[in-house]
Amino acid sequence: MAKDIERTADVQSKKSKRIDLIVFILLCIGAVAMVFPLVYMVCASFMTKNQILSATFSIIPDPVKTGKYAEVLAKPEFLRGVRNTLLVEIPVLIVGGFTSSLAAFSFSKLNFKGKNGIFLGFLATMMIPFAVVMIPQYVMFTRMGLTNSLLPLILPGMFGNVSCIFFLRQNLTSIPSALVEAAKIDGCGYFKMYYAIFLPLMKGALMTQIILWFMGIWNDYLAPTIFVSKDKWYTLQVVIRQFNSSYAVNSDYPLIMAASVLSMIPTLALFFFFQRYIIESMALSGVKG
Amino acid sequence: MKLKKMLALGMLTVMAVSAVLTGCGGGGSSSSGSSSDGKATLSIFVYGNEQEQAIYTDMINQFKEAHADEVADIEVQYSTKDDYGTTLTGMMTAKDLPDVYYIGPETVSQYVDNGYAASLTPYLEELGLDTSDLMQDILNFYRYDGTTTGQGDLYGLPHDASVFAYAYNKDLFDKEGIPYPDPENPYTYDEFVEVCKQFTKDTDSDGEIDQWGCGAANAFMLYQYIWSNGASFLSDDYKTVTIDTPEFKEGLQKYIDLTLTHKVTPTVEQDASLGVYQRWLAGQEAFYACGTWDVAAFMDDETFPFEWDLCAYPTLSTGKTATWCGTVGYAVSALSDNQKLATELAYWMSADTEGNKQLSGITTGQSIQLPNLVSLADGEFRDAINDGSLPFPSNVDVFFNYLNGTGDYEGRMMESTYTPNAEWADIFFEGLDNVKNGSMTVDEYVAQVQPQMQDALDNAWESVE
Amino acid sequence: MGETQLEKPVKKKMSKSAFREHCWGLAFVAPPFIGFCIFMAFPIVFAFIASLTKWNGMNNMFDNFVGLRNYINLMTDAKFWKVLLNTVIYMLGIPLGMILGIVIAMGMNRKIRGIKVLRTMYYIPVISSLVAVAILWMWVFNYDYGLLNSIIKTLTGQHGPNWLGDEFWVKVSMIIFMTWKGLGTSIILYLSGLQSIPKDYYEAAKIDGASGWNLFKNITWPLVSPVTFYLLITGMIGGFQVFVEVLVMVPSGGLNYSAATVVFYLYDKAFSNNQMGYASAMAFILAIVIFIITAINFVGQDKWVKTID
Repeated sequence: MAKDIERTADVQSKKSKRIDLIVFILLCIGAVAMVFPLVYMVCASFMTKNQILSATFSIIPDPVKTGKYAEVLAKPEFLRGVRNTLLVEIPVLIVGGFTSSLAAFSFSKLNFKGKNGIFLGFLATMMIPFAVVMIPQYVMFTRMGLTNSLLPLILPGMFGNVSCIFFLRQNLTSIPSALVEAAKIDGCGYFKMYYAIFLPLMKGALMTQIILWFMGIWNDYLAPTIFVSKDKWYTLQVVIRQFNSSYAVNSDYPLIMAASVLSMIPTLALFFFFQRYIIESMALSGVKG
Repeated sequence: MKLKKMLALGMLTVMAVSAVLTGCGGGGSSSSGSSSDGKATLSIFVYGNEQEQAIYTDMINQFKEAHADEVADIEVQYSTKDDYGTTLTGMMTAKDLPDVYYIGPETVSQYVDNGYAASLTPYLEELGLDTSDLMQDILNFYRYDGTTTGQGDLYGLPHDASVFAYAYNKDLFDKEGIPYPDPENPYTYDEFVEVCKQFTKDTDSDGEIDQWGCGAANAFMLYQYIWSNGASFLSDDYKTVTIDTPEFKEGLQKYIDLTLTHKVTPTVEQDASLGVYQRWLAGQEAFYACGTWDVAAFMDDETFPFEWDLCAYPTLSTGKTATWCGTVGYAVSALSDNQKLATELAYWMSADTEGNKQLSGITTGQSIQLPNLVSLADGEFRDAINDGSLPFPSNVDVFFNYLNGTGDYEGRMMESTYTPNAEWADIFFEGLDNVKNGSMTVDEYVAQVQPQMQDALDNAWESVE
Repeated sequence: MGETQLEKPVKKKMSKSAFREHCWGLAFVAPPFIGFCIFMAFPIVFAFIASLTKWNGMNNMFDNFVGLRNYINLMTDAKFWKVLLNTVIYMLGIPLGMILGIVIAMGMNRKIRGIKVLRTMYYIPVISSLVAVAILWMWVFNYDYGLLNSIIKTLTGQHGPNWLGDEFWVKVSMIIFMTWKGLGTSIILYLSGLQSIPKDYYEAAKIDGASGWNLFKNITWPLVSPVTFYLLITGMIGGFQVFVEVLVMVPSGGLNYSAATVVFYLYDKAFSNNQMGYASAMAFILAIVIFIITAINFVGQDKWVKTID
């Protein structure tokens, strides 16, 4: 009897190994299909115009041309786009990271009246389509004379970010509230409590949120295209889009692809370094949200 | 507590509103004004590519030097053609207009009625600036008497008058051994189709057509067929869509036939792979259009490595060859503190001889527009082309014939120039490829879009009531 | 404060230290609250007023009140209904993404080596810039030279469809693109959902003789229903706001406006045709639709969303 069970288990594990292999192969095919367009994009950036526009399809660049990358980097508008994007990123992430974490601390660890109401109100704003506030914000920024600067992109972010607050608050729930009481007894002020105790404790979560936020700003197209009217303040995504419209006329697709590849490198690099945290944070949103 | 929170919210909203309003006040004063020594700071907002911008900057600097006793500085802002309108509307919303900006014939009445554009006539008279050498037909587009455009005071001075003429690739004609088109005797439609057929072929015999007679870009090349057939999109008062007339349908059918029946243009699918303009630049089409603004680029071997010249669009039932023209002008802001000086700047940009020579290429060798001054156009401009100092296609008269309506030539403004917005026209062109690819007939399509276009047109007129 | 005192006398007796905490707590959430007022609350009020006017950005908004006319016109605006329908059709991508997501996640939930690398590969499109990948896919969908039609031609010998130029295929194209872009998210979420299901649930069911499909139907699917719910909600809220994808890939809005979405039309109206009032009304309708759909989802969730106790 015992042998029988063992044998079945053996058969089953053999069978399950075979299934594992098939599943693995299928998953690999799927994964390759997912990244294939991106691989093609990289390849195309090394091709000649004629190869891309030839009737016969090919993926390996022949001859390999690296000149397009130098050409893109030599375009002043490209580097200006990178600079402008960073000029938005830095103040938003520093100030916005501070205000968001402070608010998350307050929502999670302090008692004040109207706490839950305000928090729910914040969450509800995630439901409001950007389209509703886009026109009034546009009018607001033009009236304040800000569209000739990056301020329309910087100011809103400085006041904090709802999803960031939400995640940090979620993260803080796992830290015992007794810490607050202990600090109170020690006569510790509330800001010091945040700064000296809780900020270090949520450092990891805050970093993850800031990385995600960084990617969000880096990839944002809609707000810059509406709120920024002068080309010297265009952010990278707007520049890439402009490249696409202006160089397509001369069919300079390798250049467009090279510019797109370059624009994606920072976010991809960040993702590879921090993917564990990013994926964990993403997973959290579905289970707890 | 709830009440308190509501109050707090209310307070904050009020604060936000007042921030916006004060911001408005602050913004308005920054653009124009006078410095302590009584000199004025002017601002100007125009669009153009890098090449044009360089010329404008040059002209503006010359103005500054010539008026050094009055002008402290001139702030210049450039934009692209696509973004210009949006940015300008933003400035109007903010009531923070530059002293000099672009105005189009379609916007004259709106800008004047809403108090953004100042009348130039009194200043021009006071300053003794003469507009008689400018093309009068173009100038009239900027007149408005409070009810009708085309008469009354001047609200703009033309920056340019542009023409969208036809062009042909000489190298292809040589290769196929076909005589060049004669601008004096435009092709009839049937002749044109015959010529085009000779070009349409598979040159590398891989089974796919790779050379065509012409490229047909709907939004730019249908008007020519419609007008030449004696039809128009709108009634004379621009309030009724008239695309159901037999002449219109016939003109449209002939345009469609180029692709569908005669197959002398790339198909809708081929156009989706690589646009007809891209194919022209790649030397795959014998005929394509050339705007006055394209000349410098087409003369440049980097952009267009072929010999080419101008010609006329084919003629339909009226026997006239037609195309669309355009113009944009300089307006002076009604909100400006220095309207007189701004008018001088506008006049300088529009009618200054040196500036005109630069833009038309007489001095620079690169032509991005025709001269605004009639004397210049008839004189030095032609001389420069004839003696070869200005690279230009030799049939330059095609441009002027369209502009002046000489002989069988006729140039018109697109009908959307006369309507508050162009949405009705967009509707027409959005689905036109359905006819071009054969999935709908002209009759079906016209029946389908006409009511929608009429609705959009009604809404457009209603919006400015 | 008088009435509150009577109702809840306890609150009056807030100690000094509790009051201090109250003040600090409020102060700490003040920046996002102020940001909310300036960049959300005020614009919403403004947009509502604007939606009642014939405002075009140039004229004076308050001189051009038209009451509810923008809303009434919208109801008879065939183009509006068309873009709304397009937007809803694009949402067919949501269930498609869910099915692919759960299937792949279940595959990954087996103990196989190299899952992390695979997971990363599936996730890359999510973090890639929307503009850059939309430009890329525009090229993938190209009729003659595109990746997709080249593959189709190699495999079948037939020329593939005119992806972005055909009224039907343009929608298929957009759905493919959006599913590709978002698939990584559903995989990650489903995977973490699957991992939180206790193993003994399956063991117990297996002893009862349940087969694969039944295991999925009775255990897996109900227990990942919170994830499904989350994906549904976020997918629909996001789905109603699709815009940049269309703007980059089909800037004209497609043949016969077949690719245009509500926000695309709205943007066109506001910034190309200067009908700010009309566009504001459209934005409000959009917000209401999103609100109603979300509310229905939340009310309906009791019926099918299960939680692990």
